[in-house]
Amino acid sequence: MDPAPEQPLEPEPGAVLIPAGRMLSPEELFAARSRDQKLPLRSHGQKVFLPDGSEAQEEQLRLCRQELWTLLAEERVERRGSLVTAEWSPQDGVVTLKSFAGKFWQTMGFSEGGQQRLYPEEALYLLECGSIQLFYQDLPLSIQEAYEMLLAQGTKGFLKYQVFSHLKRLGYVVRRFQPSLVQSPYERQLNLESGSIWSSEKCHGKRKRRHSSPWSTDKKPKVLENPLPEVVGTAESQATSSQYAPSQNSRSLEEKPQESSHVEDPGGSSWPPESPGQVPGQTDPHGRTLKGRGGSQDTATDDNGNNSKPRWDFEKIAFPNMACDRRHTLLLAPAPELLPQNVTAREIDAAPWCQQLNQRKEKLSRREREQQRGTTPFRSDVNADPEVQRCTSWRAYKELLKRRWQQKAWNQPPNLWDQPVTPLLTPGQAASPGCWRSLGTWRSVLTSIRQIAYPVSGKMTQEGHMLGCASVDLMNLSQTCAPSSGCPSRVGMFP
Amino acid sequence: MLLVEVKAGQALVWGTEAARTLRERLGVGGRPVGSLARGPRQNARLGLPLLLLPEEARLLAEIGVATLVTAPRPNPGQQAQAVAAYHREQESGFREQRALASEARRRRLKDLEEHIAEARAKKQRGRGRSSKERREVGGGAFGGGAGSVCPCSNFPSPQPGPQPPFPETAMLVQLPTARPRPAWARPLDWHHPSPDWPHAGNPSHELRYQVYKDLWERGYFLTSGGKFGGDFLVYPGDPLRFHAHFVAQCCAPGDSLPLPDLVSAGRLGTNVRKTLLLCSPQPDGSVAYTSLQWAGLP
Repeated sequence: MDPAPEQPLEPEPGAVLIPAGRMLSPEELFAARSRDQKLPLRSHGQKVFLPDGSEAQEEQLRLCRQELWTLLAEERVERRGSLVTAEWSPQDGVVTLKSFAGKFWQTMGFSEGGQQRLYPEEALYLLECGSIQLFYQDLPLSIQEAYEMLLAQGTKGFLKYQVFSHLKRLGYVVRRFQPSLVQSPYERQLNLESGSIWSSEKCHGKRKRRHSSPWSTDKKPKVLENPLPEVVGTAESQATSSQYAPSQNSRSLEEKPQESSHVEDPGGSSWPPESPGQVPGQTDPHGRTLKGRGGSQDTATDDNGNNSKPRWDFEKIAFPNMACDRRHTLLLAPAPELLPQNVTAREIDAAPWCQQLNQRKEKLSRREREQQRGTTPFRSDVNADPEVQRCTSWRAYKELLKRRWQQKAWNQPPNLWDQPVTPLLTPGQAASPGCWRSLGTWRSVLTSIRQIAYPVSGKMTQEGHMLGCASVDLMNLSQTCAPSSGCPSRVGMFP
Repeated sequence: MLLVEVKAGQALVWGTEAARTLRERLGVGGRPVGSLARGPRQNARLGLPLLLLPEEARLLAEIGVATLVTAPRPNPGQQAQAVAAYHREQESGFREQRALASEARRRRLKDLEEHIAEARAKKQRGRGRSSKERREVGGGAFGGGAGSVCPCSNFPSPQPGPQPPFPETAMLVQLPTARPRPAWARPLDWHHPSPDWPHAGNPSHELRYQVYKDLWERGYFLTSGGKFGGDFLVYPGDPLRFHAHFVAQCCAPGDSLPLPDLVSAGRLGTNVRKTLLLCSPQPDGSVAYTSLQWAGLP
């Protein structure tokens, strides 16, 4: 069907007329219902190395090319009932859906102001897939026009769209990067994401998650872009601020509440009527209340990519410590500019409420106790010793060690302590009754052996001095004794 | 005269015929970067638009085969006309499709006529007999009789009855790839840099362009070499059928080439069994080539 040539209104001199693309006739459209849906295999045989001008090669090449042109020339034909109507608005830079979204709504798009919206790259991808029909000023856009209009950021937009569509075609779910959705280490500690949509959707089998590279998300020029390095630290403040800043005016971070600063979120201003059970669950010994976090996950789909600076610097805002160790119970009213509209606050003395709470003392683990004390037992640094520090050379250090050992071990003879422990008698050398004659020596041997076995006992006995002699005598004794099987068990207990 | 639309330094070809001419007659391939209409959710084969390298676009403009144009701006005066024309086309198209649908249905019924008649006769026979057999046999006769009846056999007469309506939602609509209406566009001056064509005057672009032109004139087919770490891949014929022979790396004549770069480029080429081709355009217009091939390859 040839398009009717339109009368051009005063074309510029030298302007060139671009002819229209191919439009299918109703017969062709109808015939497209029954066209082949399978993709042909690419190779018609292996690739060859050198062209030799043979017929076979020419034929193969012709077949390959024919297939390529057939595939490229096919136009997209869809049933009107299966197409979702969408409208592109350049001012907002988003595509609004006019009819109900299909299955793609589960992973793409966002809701804003009661309407379903799509980002331009998502809309373009869906247009290429044949799921939506994109209108601009009541005319449907072709893919070429959509490329020109929706990817208006120049080369960057085109390249970004290529990456986006490549990943989408592979099967990933690709979303715009939002720093507020990246969990900070603190949030991970609190394990807040356990019930949110993101972690629950992780359990669905085939979905894979990827974050697309940061796109510029400024739809309204007055919104400042948040530089990325700050993001992690202020992620939670941003998430809360994105709730509180629907007007997207970025306020200066220096704005602080007054000295008795206890910026509980607006939920806290009506704090007294709320059940006291909420408070102990949310205070920790360091005294920060965190009631605002719960709603932040709902804004994941509501968030329209707002990257404005967080409204408050939570590092400068002090929260009252209501725990039992350092109780701060007189709560002044929060500054009115920190509250949303229609919420009034009053000051309150929380002492009676705190009494009604069951605030148990926290049980610290051993490590936490040590940390609080600031000491770690059983661990001392060698270099912290002043005597060691006075040693100037290795030889001096060794002398110090020797001195110390001598002080410690002046009563430990080296012939006993420096040798390996060997039994005085082996089981084979049973003691004859003659051994038992020197009971005194046995007693001394026993005490000496006890000291060998338990060297740290620190007990000294007088017999210690005679140990060397005693064992030597016993050795001689045992050799003179005739072996008998009388008391090997007793002897053998020594080693 | 082919028209190649250029936007922000990217030259795209949106028509199949143009792409075919370029590839078959000129040896300029381009790379399809859009989704394929038949299978938009796969990455193995992509479809229109065809992305041309800046060197390819410039070559086409230089030899006079194609005109580079910038993207046309929409004409607001034509808007109302275009909308009216679109609606008219849609309505007429809808009417024709409805006629075609009923025609197709009628033809299908006629083809299956004897089939229908036979099945109906069987059913009559089955009904007559089964009033007796119903107590004895289960639904067997019914099952056998009804199974061969096609769904449209509930018409009382062989003539097709009232056709089911062809609703608007069943109408087939084309999502056109290229723009559906002709438009006026300004030709692009590729000698001078502009927002749409930032490559002019860029020394690296000039370098690569000279190499590209020289190799193209020798009859090679060149594509983008990003896959193997070079500037171009040099094929003896169409990439559809032949393997690349060289990985071309462009270097400026006076530049020193650090040895690690040379080694890495050589290794890349060796790993894919291609020769590394170092190309340097000389001041007199010719291009000097050095090829590197690892002798240890079998």
